[in-house]
Amino acid sequence: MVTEQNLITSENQVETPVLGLWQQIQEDWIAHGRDWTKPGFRAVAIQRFGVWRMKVEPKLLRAPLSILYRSLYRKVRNTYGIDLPYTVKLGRRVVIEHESGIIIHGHCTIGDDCVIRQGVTLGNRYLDKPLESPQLGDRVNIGAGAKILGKVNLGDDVNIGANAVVLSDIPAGQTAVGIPAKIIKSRPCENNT
Amino acid sequence: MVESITKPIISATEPDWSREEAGKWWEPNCQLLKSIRNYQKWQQYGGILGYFLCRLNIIYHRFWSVVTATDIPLNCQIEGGLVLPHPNGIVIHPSASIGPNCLILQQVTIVGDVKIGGHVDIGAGAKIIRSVTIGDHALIGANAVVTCDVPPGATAVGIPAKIIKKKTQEV
Repeated sequence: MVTEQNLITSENQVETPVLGLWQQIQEDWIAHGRDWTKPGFRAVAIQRFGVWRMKVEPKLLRAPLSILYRSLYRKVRNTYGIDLPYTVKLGRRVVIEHESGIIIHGHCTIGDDCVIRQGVTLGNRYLDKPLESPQLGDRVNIGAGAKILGKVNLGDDVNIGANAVVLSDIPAGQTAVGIPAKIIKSRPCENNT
Repeated sequence: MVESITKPIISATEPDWSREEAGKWWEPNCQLLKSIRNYQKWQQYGGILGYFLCRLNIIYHRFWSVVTATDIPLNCQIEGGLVLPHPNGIVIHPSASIGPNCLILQQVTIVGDVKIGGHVDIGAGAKIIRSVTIGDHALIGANAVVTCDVPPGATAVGIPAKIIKKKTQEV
């Protein structure tokens, strides 16, 4: 019975399981080192809340939640400098390290287990195409101060170096550094902050 | 010697504490450093008085960290005379050691086991992301990513950082 269930779950792992709000926040809490005071954890938790409150169908019920969400969102944006709107498709266990200067475009997709550090910008490249935004795969590791601009697809397991400016697609498993970012021979990740 | 008259040479060994003094109360950079200094002083003092003043300075440090949006831990190893003109987004690892009379601009990241000498000026957005040694009187350019050692008096710029010239050391 157990093996059968395991088989079913392993087959269904491609589909993302639907988690409740509390389970998602618990996962984020564990990913952020079990510290609820971290600015990154607060930002991610409020984003989860913002996504969850849109599931509430009756508008009268949703209105107080929306007011609460907007006040919390502005609090995080103004005090910590983390701008993470609820329209971002955020994966599970995304870690935001440190604070200050983290700007994420509303149409971004961020995969599971990504790491986003201080000073990272994910945004549009041209002012006349404001909705083009980066799409990140799973386990993407973005270094401090990196900027990813325009309609860029980053594959799984990509590493972006510190202060890089990424303007082109990066295939899975590669490391990109410099301005504009070029792919270098990937090394095993060592104390990359 | 002419340069020394117009521009005073800042010492790389003697901490100049007047660089850290707050002119008025609302100077978040000075208040943040003051809370860290007081915490370390009272922790060395010990006893019940030291314990309570430590707790008080932890609250001050938390408040000024939120105001300045920096991540400088209380157990950092920073010597006197540090200047943070715009403290937004500075991240310093607790095991990084910083010498006297340094200047750190905004958005600078320093990881663990970095050894920085005296009177090092670090430009805006520079990232020191390997455990390297930076000599006295060195300059790090804006947005540089330092991955190798910087000798004393040198200037490092670019991604990854390259050393562009030696500053002539005056006695």
